[in-house]
Amino acid sequence: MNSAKVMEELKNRKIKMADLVKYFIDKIKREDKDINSFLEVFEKSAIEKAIEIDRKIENNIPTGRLAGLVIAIKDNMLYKGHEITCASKMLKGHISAYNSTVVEKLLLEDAVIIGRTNMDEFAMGSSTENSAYKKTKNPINISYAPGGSSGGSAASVKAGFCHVALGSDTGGSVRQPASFCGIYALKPTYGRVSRYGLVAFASSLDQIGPMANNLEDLKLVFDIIKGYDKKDSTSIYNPELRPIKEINEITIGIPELIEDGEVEADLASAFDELISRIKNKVKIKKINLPNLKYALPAYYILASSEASSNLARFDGIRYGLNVGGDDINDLYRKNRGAGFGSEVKRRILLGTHSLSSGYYDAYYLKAQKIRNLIKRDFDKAFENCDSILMPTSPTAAFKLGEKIDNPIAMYMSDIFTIPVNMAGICSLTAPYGKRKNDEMPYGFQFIGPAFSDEMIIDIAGKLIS
Amino acid sequence: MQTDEKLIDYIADLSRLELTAEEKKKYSIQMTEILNWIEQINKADIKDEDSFMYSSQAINNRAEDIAEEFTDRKLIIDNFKDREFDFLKVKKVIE
Repeated sequence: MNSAKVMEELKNRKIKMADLVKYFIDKIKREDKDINSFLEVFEKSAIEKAIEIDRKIENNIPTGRLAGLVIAIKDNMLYKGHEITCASKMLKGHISAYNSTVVEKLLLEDAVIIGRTNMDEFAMGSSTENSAYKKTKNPINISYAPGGSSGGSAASVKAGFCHVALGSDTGGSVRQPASFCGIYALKPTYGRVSRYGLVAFASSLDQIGPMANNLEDLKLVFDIIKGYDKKDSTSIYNPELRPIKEINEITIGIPELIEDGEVEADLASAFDELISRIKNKVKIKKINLPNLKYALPAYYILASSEASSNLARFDGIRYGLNVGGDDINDLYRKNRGAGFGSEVKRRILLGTHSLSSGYYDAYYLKAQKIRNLIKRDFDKAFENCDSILMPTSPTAAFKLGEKIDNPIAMYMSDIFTIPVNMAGICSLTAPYGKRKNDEMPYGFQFIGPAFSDEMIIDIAGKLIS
Repeated sequence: MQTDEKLIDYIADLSRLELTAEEKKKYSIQMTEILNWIEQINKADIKDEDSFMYSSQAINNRAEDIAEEFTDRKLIIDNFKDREFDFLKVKKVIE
């Protein structure tokens, strides 16, 4: 039953929220042992919340706008009284002392938060294989990776364990797993959704976004979680939004970036097919993003630099793990050595190196300047089009274990998503087409200028779903 | 750029990360590969670029300095692994 139907039946007292939540919990218990999308199901608090909603309905008390919706959250968003680990041993056993703003907003509108989903440790990765706890599988075919880092969120939505899941996107981490699992996801414009209570990976790039099986659910949740928050200093107050246009007034930009071999052959044909399908409805314009090729290496410098600073707080004293040590420095080294996994250590080393004396100008400063070039490329492109359409990832899902020992090959799967974070703009991925030999889905993203989030959701709805 | 285990030792020390001999070996190979791959940014034309990017509608967003009561102190303290009464115990910092 889709969520619109659930909400209607709930209001008409045909179903009870507690029964619905129990249905989801049973389904997860039965089926998630093969998928591993959840790190924890919040059985007690989810049922309590459901009973609270049922009581409101019985007593004719108005319910929130999300009553009927069951939502999963990525394990990097604080939910008071519940464990949060960022899929790291470093935070095992840590209990959130307050709610993140997104969780607060969901609960206020009577959403039921069903559990926390698996992810790459501290959101670093593109396959969810960097989790310290379990390997999530792609529900379409369990020998494939679900993508990452919000792979647990994508898999939980695709498997029907919840209506919507929240993920966080620093370089593609809601869009790439959504593409691999054949669902929708939005990376909002930087500053539109509060990051308060989201464990920081790279603060200038991180943004929380909804992931769903359809655009209606995605939009419903985005409308709730968006908005100014005084607790997040990068949150933007009352931004001027791009207007929604009639379909025949829309121009879609197609970048000339697909060089031979850059995307797999079936994806290139699916892209051509999609363009020919939409070209009767909208205007199509070729655009040029000449500096896009520098986005990926520059991103790894910036994101790792920010991460090396943000993750300095995990010192073995204030949070989670404590394996002891002879003196304070020994304690830091031992705890961080034991608590962080392989990819996290690699990025802390890269970030520390990029920021270290003698290398700052060659790496960090240069990467910041490249960020400007990329933003300007997009600004110029948006003078000639409303939204840019391009693949979300250069391939469909790869197999579990296929890229785990090759960091650069893994990084390449975010080559088309990262520029969006670098420019601080928004992008929505929608499923379209399949790889022929294994039926794994492709995703295409509608990229929009800053504050065009509602507009790109509308465009994707008119053109794809 | 070639990263040897000596450089990895230096960065690991700055990062306060204890690495095993095996990790040092692995990271010195991988860091060389990653830094060589990153070298491609040198081809970008950035000579006229400012060093920081600003979002068009972002403004300085300073929180007012108003004290608010935090009622869940216990939840924070319960997360301490090593405590005495309500105090977090740490190793001696100054010899």
